[in-house]
Amino acid sequence: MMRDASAVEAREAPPSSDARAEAAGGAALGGPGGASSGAAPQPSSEPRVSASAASGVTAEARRFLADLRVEIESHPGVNHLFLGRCATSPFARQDYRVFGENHYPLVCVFTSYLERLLVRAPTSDAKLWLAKVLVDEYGEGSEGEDHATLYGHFLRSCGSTVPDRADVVKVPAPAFEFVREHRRIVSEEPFLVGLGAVGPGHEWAIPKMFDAVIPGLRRAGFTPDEIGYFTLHVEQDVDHGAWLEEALLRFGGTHEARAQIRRGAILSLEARARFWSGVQRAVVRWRQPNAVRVDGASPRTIAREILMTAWDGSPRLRALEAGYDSFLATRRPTIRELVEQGRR
Amino acid sequence: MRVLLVMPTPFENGRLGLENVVWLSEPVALTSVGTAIQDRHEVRVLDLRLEEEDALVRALSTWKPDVVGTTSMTTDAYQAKAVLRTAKNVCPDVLTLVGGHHPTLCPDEFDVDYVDVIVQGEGEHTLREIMERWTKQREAGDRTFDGVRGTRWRDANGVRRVNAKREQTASLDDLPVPNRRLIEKYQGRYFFTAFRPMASIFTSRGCSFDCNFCAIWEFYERRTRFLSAKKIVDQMEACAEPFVFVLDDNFLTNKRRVVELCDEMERRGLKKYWMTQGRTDFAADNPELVARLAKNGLVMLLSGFESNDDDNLAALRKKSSWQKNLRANEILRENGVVSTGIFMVRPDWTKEQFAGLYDYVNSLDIGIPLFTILTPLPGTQLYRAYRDKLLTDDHRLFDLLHAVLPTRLPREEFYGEFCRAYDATEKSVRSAYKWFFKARPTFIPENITSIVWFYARTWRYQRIHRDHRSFLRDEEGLLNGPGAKAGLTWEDIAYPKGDEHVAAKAADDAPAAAGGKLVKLRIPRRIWADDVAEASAGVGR
Repeated sequence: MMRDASAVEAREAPPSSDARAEAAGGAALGGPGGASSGAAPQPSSEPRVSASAASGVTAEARRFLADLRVEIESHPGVNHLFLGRCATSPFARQDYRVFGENHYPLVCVFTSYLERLLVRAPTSDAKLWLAKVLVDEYGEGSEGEDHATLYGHFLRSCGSTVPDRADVVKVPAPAFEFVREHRRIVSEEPFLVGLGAVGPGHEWAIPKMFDAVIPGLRRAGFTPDEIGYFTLHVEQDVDHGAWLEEALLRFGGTHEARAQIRRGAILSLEARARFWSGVQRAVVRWRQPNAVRVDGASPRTIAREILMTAWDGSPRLRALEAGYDSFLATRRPTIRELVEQGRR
Repeated sequence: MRVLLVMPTPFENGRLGLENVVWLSEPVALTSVGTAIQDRHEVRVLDLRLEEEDALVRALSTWKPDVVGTTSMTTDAYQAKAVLRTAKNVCPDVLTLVGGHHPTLCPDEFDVDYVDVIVQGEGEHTLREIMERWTKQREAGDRTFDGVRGTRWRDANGVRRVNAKREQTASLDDLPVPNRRLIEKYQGRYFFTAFRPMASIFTSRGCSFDCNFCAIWEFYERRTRFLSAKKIVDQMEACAEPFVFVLDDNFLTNKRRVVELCDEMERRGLKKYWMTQGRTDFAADNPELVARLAKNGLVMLLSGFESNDDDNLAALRKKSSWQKNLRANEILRENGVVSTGIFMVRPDWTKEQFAGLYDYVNSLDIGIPLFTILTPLPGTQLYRAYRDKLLTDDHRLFDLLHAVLPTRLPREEFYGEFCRAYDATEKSVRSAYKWFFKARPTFIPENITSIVWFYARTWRYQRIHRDHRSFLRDEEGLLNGPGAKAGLTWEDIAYPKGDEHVAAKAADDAPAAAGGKLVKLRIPRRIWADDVAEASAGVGR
């Protein structure tokens, strides 16, 4: 059933050979400055999103992309301590099950962002580029298996039944918040903000994030087949990185356009940082349901400590809190509903 | 250059851990090494225990340090590595350093590509030298640290090189006083139980005893060095906080120094409450000194009582007795000093032995009993004796709250017995506070907010600690060490039998005696410095 979702979190697989050939052809036909292979097609009759497409790629735009990549790769969302802990701590399969169940909905709905952007794309150039990415996301380059299916294999190897119960399992809160923010970005923000979020905000972030997760998965005893979803994203993103970069150069010719792309990427990464904090809390709370409430950077007043203790000590208040949490959960969709919402 | 020194979290936030409620002290090791280089470099200390999760990355990406250093005890090891890995990711050109107990005693664990230099032993002089070298070499990207004593570093080919060990600083007075301004933003947030806000200082380093479950004496090569009385009182006076924790490994070890300190405190009329760690036998043997210390502000003494049984104490090479524990506790009680006793249960204990310990604690009227599980910490003699039998290699479970060796009781029952400790010894605590109130009638009213604060937090923490399932959940999926793989049970572990105090003398003469006795634990007498000396004799490895 989840195959129907045909989803990936990011443009994770490299373009198929056909797609790459098509991209290269596009660059040869209309690419700026003889853009290298991987550029998106540019039918000449359509208006361009960016001025740079007509005038050639400027050094300024290239510098922008280089700076943006550095900014993304050093962002807290990409370098969250939880990811560092995955790399260095011997988390068990059980921990990764909780991790995966929180991450899975993101994988299932990624194409819906692209589909929305496709509808809103202001030019045929942009539409063509997005359509090509989508074709790839639907399963090209991963032996016919879309990435949600690949992720399902991983989850089952952790002992999770979530992929088989997607029509009843509610989307966990961290994933729901992340998806909601991205849907807002691709629906309400300017097109290039959306592009920044699903493009560099995902494409340049994911290999680096998974680079931290993969050693932890291996340490936990997962086989290469079981973690294929993750390795695919690190090992096969080189081609696609160049492809995306050319597209961004094409779309981001003006200062305003670049600012919008950057804003989209940063909005996505801020959501990503909150998501990883939520996943870490979920992993901790799976082991310790009564985990202490972490202090954080702000000291608490005595009154607040007392109030928290009184709250935690009262069975009625705790039941009220649990009821409220359940109520919030009922308001969240199931994973299937989330996927279907994305298609509307 | 900009130097960021990072105190890692001990665990993922919110898990079991005494730092949540019992004890959170200042990162004195970091302020001390930071102070040593502060005259030439810009230094910041980031205490991740008191920060949000993203604080490290934000500091790295906005402040852009040239050097990132961290410290690690055993349970922090993975977190320390995560800190340095993150630093390299965000600032690829940064020089990464790690020091502290665990890297000193188990350096191979830090032999990874994101750790440039491992500092072994005391760090103050070593860091100064590293910084001098890095200042000259950074432009060229030259990360060779050949000849910097007390370090292991990776050469251009990724080969770990080992330098000769660094001699310890002869006099602690020669070291700069740790600059507490480096942690100004966290001041007021450190505590020991209800003693808050609390400053932290050290007045000595090392311990002259050689308990087999402890690595302090190995780290300091069986030497103890002291700060002069004047320097100690200078530091105490400079602290704005009403409480000062003296973080010495064993404060009560030298009678003359304690007398000199009392003289100095009295001469200068010091008005501070302070707490420290020290042995019960010293307190039992020197009641007049304890009285003087109490008069000069000593309000809490943390001691390793360890056991209610002389056989157990001897097996641990504690060189003390339950009678001394009892006597010390009486003396502390009479002088209005809260006694914090650490007790160690053994994995091979029966329910009767647990009950016996709790009865003993209740008979002591001890103020703050803390219960731990005998854990062969890496770097100790116990570890060398039991490393092949450990149920887990996960250092997070070496927090003294988890049984890393097979238990005699089913684990559920073992943890059931362990986690009823605080309820079972409540009588002791209540009685101790009556004594304390009698001896220091103004203390509780003066510090009522801190006491309320502590009880509010500890109650919430006890919700986790009283539930034996918390311990089982913590270790789920993580018991895959050599002992677990071999299917060992408690019967396969040759625990000390209990007659070691009788056999100790003979053991000294015949260290190679066989069997699961204490003598077996005493065979590996090497310390980390021996390993360093051996490694540095070669070209490197």
